[in-house]
Amino acid sequence: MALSGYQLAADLSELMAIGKVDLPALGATYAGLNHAVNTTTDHDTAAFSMPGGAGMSAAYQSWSDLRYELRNIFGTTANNMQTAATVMIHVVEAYAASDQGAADSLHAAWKDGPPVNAVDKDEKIPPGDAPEVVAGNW
Amino acid sequence: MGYTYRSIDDLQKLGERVRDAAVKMTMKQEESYAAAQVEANNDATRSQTGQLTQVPGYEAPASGRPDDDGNLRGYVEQSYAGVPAMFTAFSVPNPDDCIPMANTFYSAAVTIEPSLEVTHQGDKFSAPLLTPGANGATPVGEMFGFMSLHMKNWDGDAAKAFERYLTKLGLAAKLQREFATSMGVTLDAQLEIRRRMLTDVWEIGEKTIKVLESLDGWCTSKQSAQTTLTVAGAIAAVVFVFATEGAGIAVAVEGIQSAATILGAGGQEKTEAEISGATVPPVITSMVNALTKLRKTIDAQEQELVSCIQQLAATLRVNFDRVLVEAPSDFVNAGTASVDTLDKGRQFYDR
Repeated sequence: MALSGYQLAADLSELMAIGKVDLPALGATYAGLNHAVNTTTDHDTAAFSMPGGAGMSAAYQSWSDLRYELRNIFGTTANNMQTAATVMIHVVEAYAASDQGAADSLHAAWKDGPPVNAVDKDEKIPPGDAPEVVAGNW
Repeated sequence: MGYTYRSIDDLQKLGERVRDAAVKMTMKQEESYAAAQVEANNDATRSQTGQLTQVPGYEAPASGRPDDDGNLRGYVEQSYAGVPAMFTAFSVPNPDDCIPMANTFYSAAVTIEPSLEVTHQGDKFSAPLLTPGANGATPVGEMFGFMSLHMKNWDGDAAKAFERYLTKLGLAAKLQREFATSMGVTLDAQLEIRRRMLTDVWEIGEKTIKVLESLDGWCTSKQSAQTTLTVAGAIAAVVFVFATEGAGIAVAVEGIQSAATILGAGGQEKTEAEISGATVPPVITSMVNALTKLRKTIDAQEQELVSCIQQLAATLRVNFDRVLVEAPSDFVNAGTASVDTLDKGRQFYDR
């Protein structure tokens, strides 16, 4: 290893920012988009019912199918971000497990969340719990 | 002309006003009255001989002549009883209630990548360009930039795979943004078709009443009124807003066509309908023809929309791997690798 102790911890902290903040933030954002697109179904009848109320208009089925494609793309991307975050955290912990000094420095720095010098002010997880990804058939 | 929502009750009342004007003018105008008498007598004969009557369900009166004033009024009222239903057949929920639905897609687009090029919105459609992104979320594109910076001291096959993944995710985000925007645009087009349909059906009803009321009681001279079917320009109007005010929303991405681009190729033809006649029957016939033309024009607009959506779907299928990017295996495998593999195996190491 090129570095050890607090110096390695500093570089691991960069990966920690990706694994603990950036990727989960993206996951939460995409989960929110997935959820938001899914709720548009609430207005389907208002937007697409046939004039006079008999059935749905010609554009509805193909539009709705595409809407669900978008929903699922957002949902799958959300899950992919969480998976990537897990990989990144594994890399961090694998290195930390091999260097006690680095592990101590890293965990001390992150014990109250992301250290201010490790992340930009705009690197943040959206407030509140990320909604559960909606998937499956429609 | 501003848009006013017309509910099913509004359309019913409009239809009743048309019906009442038709009955009133039939009873008032000599030639219409005479024509109605002929029809009433013929239908009475049909009714008495078991034939199908011209006016559905008509039965010859039990007392008096079919063409005397009282019985004739009943016959004429029955003749035009179906008029209100011709108008309520166009009833739809208020399209403006669906603006939040369209804004969901614009909000998704802005969450992925805000548009900085446009600062104002049209006064009619949803507000795609001022729609805020998801609450508290940093734009997706910006997050990829942060991650690239964090990777600056790391190297190796898995680390490089992750950086390439970030690049692909950046492009995917642009495609997703375009896709979300196109969903908003196509929905806006659908809503605008409905707004204009309501405007047009209302105009046809009002002009029919006007022409009926202008028929002369004694002298039969043709009266007419033109009505423009604004629904013919519904899609073009939505595209126009995006072309003039939403230039920043269209992202030039290779291989991807936006809904605004696809729909913009369609153009717009001016479509008019005439309400006219010297007596009541031809006026009502021309009204029916105008409503039929309106229906066909709506169908044509909807078909254009369907075609656009199908093209978007085809574009998505072709580009699916670019829109939804899976993490590369070189990177994913690092998720179970030992530190020796990561470091000495040069998979993910500190420079």
